[in-house]
Amino acid sequence: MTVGLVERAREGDDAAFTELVDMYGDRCYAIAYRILRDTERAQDAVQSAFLLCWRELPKLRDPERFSVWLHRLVVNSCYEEYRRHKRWSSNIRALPLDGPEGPDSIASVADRQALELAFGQLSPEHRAVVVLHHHVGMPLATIAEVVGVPLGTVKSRLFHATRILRTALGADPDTDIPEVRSA
Amino acid sequence: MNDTRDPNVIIGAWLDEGPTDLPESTRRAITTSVRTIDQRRGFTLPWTNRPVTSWFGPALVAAAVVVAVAGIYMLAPFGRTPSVGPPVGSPTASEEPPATPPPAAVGRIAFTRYDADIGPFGENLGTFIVNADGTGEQRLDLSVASDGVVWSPDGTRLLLTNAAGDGGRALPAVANADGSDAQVLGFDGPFGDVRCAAWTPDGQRLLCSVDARGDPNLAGIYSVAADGSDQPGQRLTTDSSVVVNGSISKCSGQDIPGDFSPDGTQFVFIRMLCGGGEDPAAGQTAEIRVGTVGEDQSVAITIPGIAHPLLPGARWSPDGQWIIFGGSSHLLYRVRPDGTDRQTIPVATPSLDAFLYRPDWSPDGSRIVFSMQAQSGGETELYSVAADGSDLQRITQRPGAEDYASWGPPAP
Repeated sequence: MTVGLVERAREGDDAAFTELVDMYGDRCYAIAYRILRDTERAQDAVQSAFLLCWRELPKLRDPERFSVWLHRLVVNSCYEEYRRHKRWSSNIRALPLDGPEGPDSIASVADRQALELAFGQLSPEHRAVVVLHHHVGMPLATIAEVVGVPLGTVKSRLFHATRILRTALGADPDTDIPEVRSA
Repeated sequence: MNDTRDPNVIIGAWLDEGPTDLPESTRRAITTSVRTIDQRRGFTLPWTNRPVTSWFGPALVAAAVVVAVAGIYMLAPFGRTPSVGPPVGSPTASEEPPATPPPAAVGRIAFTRYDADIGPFGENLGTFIVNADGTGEQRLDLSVASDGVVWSPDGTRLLLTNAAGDGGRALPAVANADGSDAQVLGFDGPFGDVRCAAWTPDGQRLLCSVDARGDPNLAGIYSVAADGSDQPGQRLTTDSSVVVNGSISKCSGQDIPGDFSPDGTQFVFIRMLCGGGEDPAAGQTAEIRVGTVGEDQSVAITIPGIAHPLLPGARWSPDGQWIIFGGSSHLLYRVRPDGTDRQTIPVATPSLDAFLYRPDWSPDGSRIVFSMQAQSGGETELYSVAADGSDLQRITQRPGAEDYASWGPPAP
């Protein structure tokens, strides 16, 4: 079904493209929000990615690769959005403390504060791998294809980023929290 | 321990918090905008009212033909037909048993196990050693984490290819065969990630890629003393740092170490090549190259696109006659070190969409170990086959993805 929609959209059928937006929009937005930690910037990133997707879709040779390709566009768009924002914004931002907290919440307020701070130290490249792995549950080989780096680099980024997040939770107390830069 | 206090569970739960639905206003903005954006499908000739792709349409047709021919070239074994027996599981396997029994799986295989849901921290994850017949699996108690491992030629030491370094860098480490006394090679100076993949036959040096944080005058493949005494060591390639910027993506070419030749005078490596156009990262390909130690030049032994751009692996056979690697077609290939006689290894996989990658030879060259995802979305396990692709045997059985298999000699 998706392949058929991609083929139709590739031929300029905007109704088919709208269906693709309906199918993938939520997932792309969830990924973008978790990389950028900001709803408005996530909306901008997703909008840019889908418009680029529409414009470049005729060049996609293999419709079966649409999902990986679209995720790549979203992640790249997040990188751009992150760097554009970083150029003029300060590093100080409010911590979102209004999430669920109670018997059903696994992450406490303190956990979330610690994770938010630690996550803020990660480069967008490290954030993307963490989100695609821990939130989306994407296989590492697919993540490698989405972010366009060798599998070893994906593992390395995931390892270091996860270590920093675990350290923030006090799980690995002997580890300092270094600033992770783009590999 | 209470599961709800598991750090990875907390991280996952925290990531799951937050919005998941694309706001309707954004959805509307996207679908409205696409109606006004030219999808670049060319223009309409007013006198024919027929859409054409562009003025270079014939060139695109010619390019399509080239791509199609290249695809056939990639997928079909060429050169001399390999003299192999029928693969196990094929219709002829039971009708015509091989005249000689398949070579026995002897020795120890080191590998890493990684669980996509858990990460590298669980008790059942990390670096392991298993007998080549699948028995006696044991987890190494390493003081440094690593996601790759390679036996030294004599089987007394292990190279940890991607140990946790300072500041988030990937650095190599060397440990005893039982995992004790792991020493990280520090690489002070202007160096980023350093990843090593092989030992020289005498076990004195390592084949490594050095990321010089964007400095093209330093990046490349290096031969590094295994005790770290001459960092960064001898530079073997100097022409890998090609950066291509596109409007969609940026691509950095790089060299990935493969293996030394059995006499130590040559080395094989993978060169990642960028695509063109606006999305050069999407068009990334790889070629296998062979260089001579001490000579700053190398030759490609495959055309771009044959080797898998992300998971090729490239290992030199113990007799020096073949180089084996994983292909972009998800099959295993072997090729002569001079680039001739490339052949697929005809493994009887359980499904047509099986993904085989990162192979290594047994010390006597009679068998090959590799990672295989037997079917799309399925578990990745280690398997071995005879060098001709017959006698498929599964080595690992436990949950998690097994990777970076390295076949060493039997325990002393």
